[in-house]
Amino acid sequence: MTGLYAIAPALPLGKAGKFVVAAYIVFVALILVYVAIMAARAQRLESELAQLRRDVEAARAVETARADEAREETPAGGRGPRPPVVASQRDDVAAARSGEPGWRAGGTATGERGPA
Amino acid sequence: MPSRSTTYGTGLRGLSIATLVVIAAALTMVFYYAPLDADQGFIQKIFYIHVPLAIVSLLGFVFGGLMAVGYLLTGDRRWDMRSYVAIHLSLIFGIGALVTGSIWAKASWGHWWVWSEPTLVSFLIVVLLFCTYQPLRFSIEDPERQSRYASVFAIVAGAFVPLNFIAVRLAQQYVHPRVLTLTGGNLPGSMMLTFLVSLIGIAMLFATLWKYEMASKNARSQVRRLRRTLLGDDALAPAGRSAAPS
Amino acid sequence: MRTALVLLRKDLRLELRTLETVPAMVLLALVTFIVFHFGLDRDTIAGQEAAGVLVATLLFAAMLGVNRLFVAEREQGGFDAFLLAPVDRSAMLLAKAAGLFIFLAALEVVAVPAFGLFLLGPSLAPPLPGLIAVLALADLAIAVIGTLVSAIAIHTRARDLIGPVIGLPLLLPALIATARAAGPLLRFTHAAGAPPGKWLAVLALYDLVFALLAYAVFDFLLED
Repeated sequence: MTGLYAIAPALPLGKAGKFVVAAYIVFVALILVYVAIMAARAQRLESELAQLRRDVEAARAVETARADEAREETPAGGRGPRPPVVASQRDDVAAARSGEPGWRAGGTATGERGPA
Repeated sequence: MPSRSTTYGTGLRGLSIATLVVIAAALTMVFYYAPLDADQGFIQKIFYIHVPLAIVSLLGFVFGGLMAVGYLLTGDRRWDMRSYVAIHLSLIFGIGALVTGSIWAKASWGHWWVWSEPTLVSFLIVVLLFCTYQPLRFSIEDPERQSRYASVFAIVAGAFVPLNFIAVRLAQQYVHPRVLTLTGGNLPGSMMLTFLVSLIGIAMLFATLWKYEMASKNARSQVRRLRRTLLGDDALAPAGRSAAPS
Repeated sequence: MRTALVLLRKDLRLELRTLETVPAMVLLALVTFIVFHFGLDRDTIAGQEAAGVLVATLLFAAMLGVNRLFVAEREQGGFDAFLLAPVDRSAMLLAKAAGLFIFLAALEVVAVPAFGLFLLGPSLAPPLPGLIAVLALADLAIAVIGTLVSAIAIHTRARDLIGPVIGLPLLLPALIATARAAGPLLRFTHAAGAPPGKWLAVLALYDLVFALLAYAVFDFLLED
């Protein structure tokens, strides 16, 4: 504190100055609290994104495994140009949607507005 | 549902830098340019933070009410989100205004709270009213109904702001000399200029934080929608009961 | 208008048969007077102090009425029936506000004379006309805002809490005006029985603005 007096001797940090400083500290503190709240939100968003990535990768792994099983059953074997459509049964929406281009093209989801 | 997607982050960087510049300029002017007040001396510097915070907070409440009108007219949940963010930011600014006002009262009148300052009293009433906004939202489970009722509240409360100021101002006898008026009519030019720069700075800060929070909320809802698109409706964790619009 | 009258008659008949709300409001008002007598440790009060006691008491009692306003509709499916009927939604606002106004008037018919008897130092008779004018305008504000707030609160989980919590700040300016208008009336040396016109104007303005606001937004509270 004495250091501050030394570099800013013109500041009248007497009785009046303390109140003024307090008021401006309140302002800065409010902003910092706000930043802290937003930081917590950003952290949550980050973890949600990570979770989403894990889930999507897991879904894709399941799909790839199924595709491999399906290939082993067919006598021809060999890698076809596109994965077989076994996975895209109606009751397996998740697998159906995670086709190769689908999961990267987030743009399809951005424009869409369902009832949230 | 409209398919237009809004990105609130656009221009946020430029706005943030501009806000920083204006607030830095305002602070410099407050402490190095504006003259000392003849009556109050250095204490009067609180004026440059307290009054802009209060004005921006009140305008923010009214802005939230206007956004709520948008929701009731269109039924688009994004309007509700705008209203929600505006009100909750205004509440933070309002608490700042109350605390700085209280400090000012203590410094110049010797009491932490003075009833004879009508602006302070009406401000307290407005802040108390808007403190009920979050509990109201939280106690309505259905999201659509939550948005609708919160919008009705925001409109009524937004209209309440000016009315309340009229009523409280009339109710007070002016014991203390009025050192400030909201119009700043009796300020000398250099003080007025400093005040205006501070006001613009705080208003820009409000706009920046508003855009920032909107961008954050928007990103979060995008992630939720992306999850639904990629993994199906079942993969969506049920949204916990929340006061915030999603 | 006809719908509103039918609804109002229904509410009044319900109240006359069950006697649920108004007697409770009156009782609360009387108990509050007793609390004030002991709390202030005074046998008689006058002037601004008396006005404060009267306004606070009436406000507490009014809150009971506000909380009960839509309970029957909510519990017995009256909302659904009303929404199914091909009638103007605003009729509900009009009927409920009028009903609340009548309840408040009934409360005051008992509570104000009781106030004069128990607590008030000066005689109640000279300021009575002015007091009636002030209270009528205040009741109008409480009726309109109370109906609006009650309609918001009835569909929330913590409805007994949300109603007063939103309603009290919204009512504050009207209550300030009422107390300030009634204060001079209840002094010992009342020169004239007329309240300051300024406060009547503030109350009237408040009533008008909130009536219009409530009319504009009320439909959204019923829509489902």
